[in-house]
Amino acid sequence: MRRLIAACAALACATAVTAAGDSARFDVEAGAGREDSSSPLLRLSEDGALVQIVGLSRLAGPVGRLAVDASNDWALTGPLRLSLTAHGETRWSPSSRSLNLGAALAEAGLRWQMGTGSIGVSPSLLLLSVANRPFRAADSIRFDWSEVDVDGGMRALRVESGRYRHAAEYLDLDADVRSISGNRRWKFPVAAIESIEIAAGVRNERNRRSLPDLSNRGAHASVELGWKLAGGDWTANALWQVSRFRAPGPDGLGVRRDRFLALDVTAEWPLSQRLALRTSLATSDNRSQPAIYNNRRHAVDIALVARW
Amino acid sequence: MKLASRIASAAAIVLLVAAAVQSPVQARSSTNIGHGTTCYNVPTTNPDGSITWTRVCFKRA
Repeated sequence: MRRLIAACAALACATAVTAAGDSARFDVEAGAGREDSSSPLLRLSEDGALVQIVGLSRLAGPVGRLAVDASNDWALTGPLRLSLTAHGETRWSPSSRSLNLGAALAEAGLRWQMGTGSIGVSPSLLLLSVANRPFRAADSIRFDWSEVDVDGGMRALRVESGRYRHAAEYLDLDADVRSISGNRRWKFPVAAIESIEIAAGVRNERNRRSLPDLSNRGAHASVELGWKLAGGDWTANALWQVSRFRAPGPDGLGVRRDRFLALDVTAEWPLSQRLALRTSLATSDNRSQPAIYNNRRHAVDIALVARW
Repeated sequence: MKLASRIASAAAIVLLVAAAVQSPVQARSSTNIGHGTTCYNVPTTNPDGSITWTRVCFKRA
């Protein structure tokens, strides 16, 4: 996985430097923080029963983070444009391997401009590792319609179809996923609140191993506010999500239902033309039936961001 | 159906609840792709022919 992330980072660099036009974007972010999750750790006992490991019901510790992101765009014929995006990210914790995360993304896009709006089609491949082990490969294709106003307001609607494939020990999670989502952003340049954005979406995940207890449907909605304060750009976001699984789980777990609420605040201060300091505070609460999926997460992070 | 695999799957999902769900605001600022969000750029052609880019971020499926 690390090789894949390194390859993705190299692709990101190549993508950014292939053409030094205005559309080329290259970001590097290095951060440090602390995370705390209350997820229970589970084990299968000798007699096959599900056991929660007492005393190991909390994942917490310092976390380091490094991310590289690049994208570029080329005009093809007429209003048609081609874009390439690459992203590599690794997160590690010296105290808990379970907090380690790796991600690599490659995405291509064709976009047809029509006035202030455009239609895009974007195939992508996302690789995820959790706790230093390969976890998921997600390939998808996305169709979107997006329109940007002169004042920075925005409307977007997306339809996405994807496939989850997993490492050998998680094959049961292989699934087909379809979703519809949208955003609407308003800008208020001279008001105390500079921007408001709402987003919402629905998704359907169908298990490919004929395990209905892992198939689920869900919906989410979020609202985000942006403002300036003390020389920095601030954003606050609230996200509400619900999921319902289709059948009872194994070992008498019952039908899983999740209600997830996340709140976060981020502030960013420019240090120079290309460098910025960012800090964020996030908290989330997943309330689930059955309760083994309950989780409360708190995270604080400070990062340096370099942009070219 | 392998019960051990199913339990491991359950534990993995718990981990993902902690790791893979992140809000759009952080994605917008840091493109935390691994955390469940994705961003793309939308070009708009100005009257003078120049192009303005707007970043659109959303929660992944």
